Amino acid sequence: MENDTTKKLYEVGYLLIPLIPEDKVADEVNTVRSYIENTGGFIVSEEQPKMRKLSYEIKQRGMASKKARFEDAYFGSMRFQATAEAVLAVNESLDKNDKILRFLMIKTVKEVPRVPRTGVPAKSKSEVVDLDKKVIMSDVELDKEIDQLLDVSKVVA
Amino acid sequence: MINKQCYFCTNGFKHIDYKDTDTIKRFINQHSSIIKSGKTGICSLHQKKLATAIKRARHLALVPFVSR
Repeated sequence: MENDTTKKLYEVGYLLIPLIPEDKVADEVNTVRSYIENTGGFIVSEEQPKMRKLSYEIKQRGMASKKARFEDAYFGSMRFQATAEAVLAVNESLDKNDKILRFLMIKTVKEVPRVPRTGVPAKSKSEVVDLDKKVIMSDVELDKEIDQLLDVSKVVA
Repeated sequence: MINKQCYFCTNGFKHIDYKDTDTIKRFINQHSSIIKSGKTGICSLHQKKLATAIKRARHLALVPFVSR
């Protein structure tokens, strides 16, 4: 638990080239996982790569001569805890991997459950209605209350 | 139409995820540029977070840089 103070939560999103057959995508995920775990990182959660259409064509890195361009790719992501030095090492090894088209390493925070802001105006309305009711109910009691208040003021005077 | 309330505040978003493209795409126009907060009614805190999320999503080609 001592390391938890130096370890921070990071997230890596990556695009795998679409030439990989679907059965072998898991192997690529394992290599990415090994990069993180070999440097002492701890994987918190992960999203399995899914084939999706890209918004624009991406050239394969280091293959400029072949002019390999891709319109779709497998997109996956991982959240992990690691030290700053370990992240640099992971970055380097991801950079060298030819099967990764592109990746994005970001520092994140723990996921916070969403709490929509609803029902606030409704509550205040109901309170107002309650106040009105009290006033209507206390037609007889009102006289008593005024008398009491008068008595109190007399005592004070 | 100009919204008067911040979408992210009312729906309880604390952070905006770049992978959540369905939400992000609500705040980019037909040319894929980020819509000004004056038009969408987003508060300045969430507008900043949204802008980083969009830029991250663009890097990974989840959202386009430009479209015609």
